[in-house]
Amino acid sequence: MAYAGNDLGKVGELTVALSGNGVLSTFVQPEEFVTGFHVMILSPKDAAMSTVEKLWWARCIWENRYRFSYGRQANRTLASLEVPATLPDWVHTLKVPTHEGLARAAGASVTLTDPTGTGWADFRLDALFDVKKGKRFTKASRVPGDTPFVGASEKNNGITDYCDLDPLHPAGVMTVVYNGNSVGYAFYQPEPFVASDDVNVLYPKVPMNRWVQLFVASIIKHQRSRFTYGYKWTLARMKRTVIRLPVATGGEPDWDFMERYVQGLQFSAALRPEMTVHELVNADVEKSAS
Amino acid sequence: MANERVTEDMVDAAMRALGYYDDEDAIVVEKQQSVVKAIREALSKASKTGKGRAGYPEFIVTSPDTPDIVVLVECKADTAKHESANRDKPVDFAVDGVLHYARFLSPRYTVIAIAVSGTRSSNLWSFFLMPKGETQPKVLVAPSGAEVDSLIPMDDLIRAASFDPMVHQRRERDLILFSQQMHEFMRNEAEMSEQEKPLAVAGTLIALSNDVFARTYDAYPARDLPDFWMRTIKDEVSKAKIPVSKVNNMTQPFTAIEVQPELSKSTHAYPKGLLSEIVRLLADRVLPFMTVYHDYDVVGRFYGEFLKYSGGDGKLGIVLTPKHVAELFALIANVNKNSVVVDPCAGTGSFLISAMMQMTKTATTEAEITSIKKDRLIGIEQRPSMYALAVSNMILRGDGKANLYQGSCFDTPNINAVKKHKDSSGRILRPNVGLINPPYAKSKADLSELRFVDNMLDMLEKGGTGVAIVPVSCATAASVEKQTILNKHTLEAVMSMPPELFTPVGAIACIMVFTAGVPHNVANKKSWFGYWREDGFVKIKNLGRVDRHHTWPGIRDRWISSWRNREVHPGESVTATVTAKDEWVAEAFMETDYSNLSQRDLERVLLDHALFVLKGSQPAETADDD
Repeated sequence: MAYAGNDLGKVGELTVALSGNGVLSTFVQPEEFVTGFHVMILSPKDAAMSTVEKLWWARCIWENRYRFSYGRQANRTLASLEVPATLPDWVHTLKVPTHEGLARAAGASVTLTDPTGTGWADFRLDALFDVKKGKRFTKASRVPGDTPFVGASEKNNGITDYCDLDPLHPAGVMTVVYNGNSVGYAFYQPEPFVASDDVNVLYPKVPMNRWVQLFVASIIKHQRSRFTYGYKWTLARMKRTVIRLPVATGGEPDWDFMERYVQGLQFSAALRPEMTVHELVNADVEKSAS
Repeated sequence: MANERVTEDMVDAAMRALGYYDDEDAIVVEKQQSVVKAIREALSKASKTGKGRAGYPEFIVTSPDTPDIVVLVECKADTAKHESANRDKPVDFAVDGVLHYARFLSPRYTVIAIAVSGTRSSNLWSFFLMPKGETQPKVLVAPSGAEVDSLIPMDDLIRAASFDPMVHQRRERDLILFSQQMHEFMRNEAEMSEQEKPLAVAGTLIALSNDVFARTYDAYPARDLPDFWMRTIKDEVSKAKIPVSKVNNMTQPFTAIEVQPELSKSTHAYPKGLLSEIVRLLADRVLPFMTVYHDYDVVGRFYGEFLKYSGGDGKLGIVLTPKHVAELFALIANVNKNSVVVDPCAGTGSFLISAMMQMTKTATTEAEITSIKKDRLIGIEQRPSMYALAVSNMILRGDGKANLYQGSCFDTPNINAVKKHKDSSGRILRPNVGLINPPYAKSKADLSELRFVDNMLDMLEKGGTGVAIVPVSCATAASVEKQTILNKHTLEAVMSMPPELFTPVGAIACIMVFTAGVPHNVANKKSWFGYWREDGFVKIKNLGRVDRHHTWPGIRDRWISSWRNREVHPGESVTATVTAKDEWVAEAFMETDYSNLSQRDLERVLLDHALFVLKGSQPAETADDD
């Protein structure tokens, strides 16, 4: 590979960050690009190199991050970086997941009924859930580990950190941010976790699967606009908050409809617990091949 | 063939009849050429043939008091030549021609363009407005909303142009930018503190309102000007007929400016001294705005500008009321010429000024306007320098006798003075409207925001209206103060305000409206809660929050009308019976509007979750914090 100079980057070239926090962050660029000053472009000498192979080399470069810091930047030494002489055979069998493959729905599409119509009814949150407050753990008191730490974030399912605390909440419940700019963001937690004191945890009073809880999460999120820094969604306020849900003939929430509706949306196939990323991708490949 | 001169003569006669020629100093009517250099230069390449030669409109009318507005008149002899279909034949048609000229002037001026055609017996007139910085004409509209369709006196033309929201905004912007320059100048050259700067501006504006000072300040050498400046301020304040003790209180803060050594120094760059330069800048740039731009809280605007940079005041609990909120207060209280308004935390006086503007709009006689200015606005302000600013503001706004008291609004003499306030004839005029933005977050427990509100309500006559803007926590937290207030007064309404209202200070506020003197449980009625979270203002670098998209008048009118009629709309407003134990905010009672819930909302949640699951719930690669 050779340093390609500072002109327009081409499709399929690799970029390597040379300094800063992201030093040696390496990516395969899917489109033409321009870079900043402290980025080097790697252009494969073998024009036929596959994307998966490029990703392998990128990963190898990435592994060398520990060598660099603010005091020692990667500029001059990058060319002399040593990577494995050969790449393992299994790399050739990998496939890059595609948007089409990932976006598939698990079930048939279902039409959303009118939320203001008679098919929906109001329910107090504390009638559907036990609402519990998260607990305060300072950053200083946390040691890195495997337990998801759910904080006041709207990204990454609300998880801001992983720590070595024992989980305080089981998988299969929802978290709702009650404090800060991300107030009102609701997430289904698929793993046992710890919730910070910026978060309230909703335990379903009746069994609700992941599909149903994702539906309810989006309804909860719809309440976002009424809360601010000055008017937080505290435990007491959350308990008496009223949300609107589709109802079955008996007037109870129509859990079955919610489940079918969410399964009919894009990306739901990715959530089927038995599917791995590779199965998803391969399923797609088989489908498009047939 | 018809003669264009006949048309010109007709316009000339109309102007003469309307007093355009009465005072040569006030209105300058010129033909074809202007003595104003900037206008001449702008027209020097404005020939209607587009060949780059000079253009000569029939009349150019200016008013030295309003240097940013120019009136242009273009005449055609034949009404058939009044306006072309596409307005693109400036040589042949009157409307086309005058708009052509207007475009050359509008980069620097707000232009009132008048096209006239025909003769005495049969003629056509068209009136356009091209606000500064615009290239498209608008129809000129009088403040009443009616289109201007015949020649009106110059004052009315200017008023119609000033009334235009775009002109209004442009001027506000110009003034903010100027106040920023002023801030830089005072900081870099004069080493003045944040507290001194607005005083220097206010004092200078008062001094400039004195004719002799305005004409002669330039002649004074650097070391003598501060003394002359101070004497003029004292003279002007004395003329305002406020009691002697108050004159001293009022003028004392200005003496601190007078003795600033930097101001009286003659330097290479400013041989007449910095004070002289400050006076000149304000005389050139601000004075004209005040004489025309009648609803402008100039001192408050400058003060706000200086506060922004000092940064510290936010922590001291000084939260300056944005101008559009002051306007909102007057409308919420629905003040009119019979109102008597008190603000016990007057600050720079912006509530009183906006109330005054609103009240004078309902006045029909000169005597009523005098009564509003002299007798119907009362304020208390504790901090001496702020007090001086408030009085200056009132004097500059034409309040001959400032009913402003210096001291704490909790002091009995001040409270009694307000309750027993007398008009000029000695009749007691107890306030029936109270407006307050109390200091926030005073650490002393007995100075909570609601105590200021309670104190204000107690000053009002029974049935009076009190309006307050306070942190939301005052409305949501249970407190003794809430109960105390309800024991005596009725909670009429609470409006949740936009979270960024006080940018850059991070206070989230709501407006409370009370009826004074009627206990809440005696009134025994529902309160109205408004969710006023979107005022249409956007944050713009260096300018703060501004009504960039001109949506404020519409939003304001909708808010005010729904409040006055106690309307209930999902997602916007709701009524509820409350006690002191309840949360007094719309958010607590309002129904969520589900009509905008769509499949996209659900897809978004699912996509986020799917991406999270696909990524795998493992510790992130790096410890980047974002």
